[in-house]
Amino acid sequence: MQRDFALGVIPIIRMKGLLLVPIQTPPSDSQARQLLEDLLDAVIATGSKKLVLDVSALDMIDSYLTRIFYDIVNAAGKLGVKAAIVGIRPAVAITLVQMGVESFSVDTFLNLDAALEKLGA
Amino acid sequence: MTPPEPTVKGTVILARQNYVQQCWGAEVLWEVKRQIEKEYDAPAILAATWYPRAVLSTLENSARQLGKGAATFSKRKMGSSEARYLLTGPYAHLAKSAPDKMAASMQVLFSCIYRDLALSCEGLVPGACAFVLRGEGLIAADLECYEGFFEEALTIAKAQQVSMVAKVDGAAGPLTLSVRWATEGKACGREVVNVNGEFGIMDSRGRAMEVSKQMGFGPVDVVNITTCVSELARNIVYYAGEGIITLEDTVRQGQRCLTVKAEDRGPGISNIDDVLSGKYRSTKGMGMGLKAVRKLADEFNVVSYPGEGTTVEVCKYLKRR
Repeated sequence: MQRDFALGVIPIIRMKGLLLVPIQTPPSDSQARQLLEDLLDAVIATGSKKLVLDVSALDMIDSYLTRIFYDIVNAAGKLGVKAAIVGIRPAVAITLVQMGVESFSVDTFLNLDAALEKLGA
Repeated sequence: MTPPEPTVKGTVILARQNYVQQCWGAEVLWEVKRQIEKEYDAPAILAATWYPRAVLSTLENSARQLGKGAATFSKRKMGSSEARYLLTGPYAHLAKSAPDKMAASMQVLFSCIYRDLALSCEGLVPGACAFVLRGEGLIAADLECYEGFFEEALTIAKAQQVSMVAKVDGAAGPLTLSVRWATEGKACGREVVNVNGEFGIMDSRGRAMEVSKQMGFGPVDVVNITTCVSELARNIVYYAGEGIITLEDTVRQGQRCLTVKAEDRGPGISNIDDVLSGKYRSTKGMGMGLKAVRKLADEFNVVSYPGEGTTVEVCKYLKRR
């Protein structure tokens, strides 16, 4: 495991052909925007084919963050990278459904294991 | 000119000064007593009085007989008469525990009554009480006339750790002024967050999470509330630059709830229906911030005047678990 890029409090961890991004606290808007750019740079720089955003530590995901995640996953897709989000907390999941976030149609998984299985580790 | 009748506004009985001076008599006294009986279930009955203590004692006794509890207190001597207030109901203890604080604030409130504003009890919180002034048909422009009053009231409010909010509902709606008194050791929960820049967004959602957890909301409701506050704070920062978010532990319709009020003096929203119906999509997000807030909240209210600013108020009821 090697930390190639660190951005504020959001680390981007490279492991084999995978980029793992554990998001520890709800980021500020500019941090989130920066993450979008840096992740794509990291994808190019490392040649990773898979990207996993771990949001299990997030106790809140609002519409802006949802939008950023959606953009990350879709932009990564354009680069031929399979991206997924793992570990959405139950209360957060319920809130997302209540908000009616239909656009959150990205691949989400219960945990990292499930995601790696699906993405083919 | 006929003097105005004693006003009965829901839970409160008022007698105006001029009315009292001109035609206070046995008949009126009886009428007020009858009202106290009629409003037996009301949380509080209040009488503004500049009349002799004997009259007040009569009222106080009749309230006591009805098991409402009552207290009188006085403040200022005006010529030969003395200002006396009678407060009954669960808030009578306030008058007893802090008569000076109560009296000072009441005095300012009553100076409003003499300008034909009515007073009522609202948003009663354990350990605190609120009075709301309403002047029917008042418009925003009238606020200027009352500016001096508000300032005076605000000074007192600040000095005594009570809060005061002045707002105008609707274009020609009632002017609402609420004052809260917090009793010692049991300050009513109220957090005011200055929202300015990104840090303001993070700060406000952190506080929202703290307050909602403290109040005992369930995990889903905590996330609901935090998300609402995050959206509201972002709207303030993006569209108005800065504003204020108030989180308040309060009671509505007999149920404890958390109200979140987001105020700004930004450009306002002219196409509010489009925003809420989803027709309008902003370039800065998914155009769904307010929509999401409406879905997550139990009560949702937005008032906005183009060029003057926006106020969004949402409320989440604390469910018994």
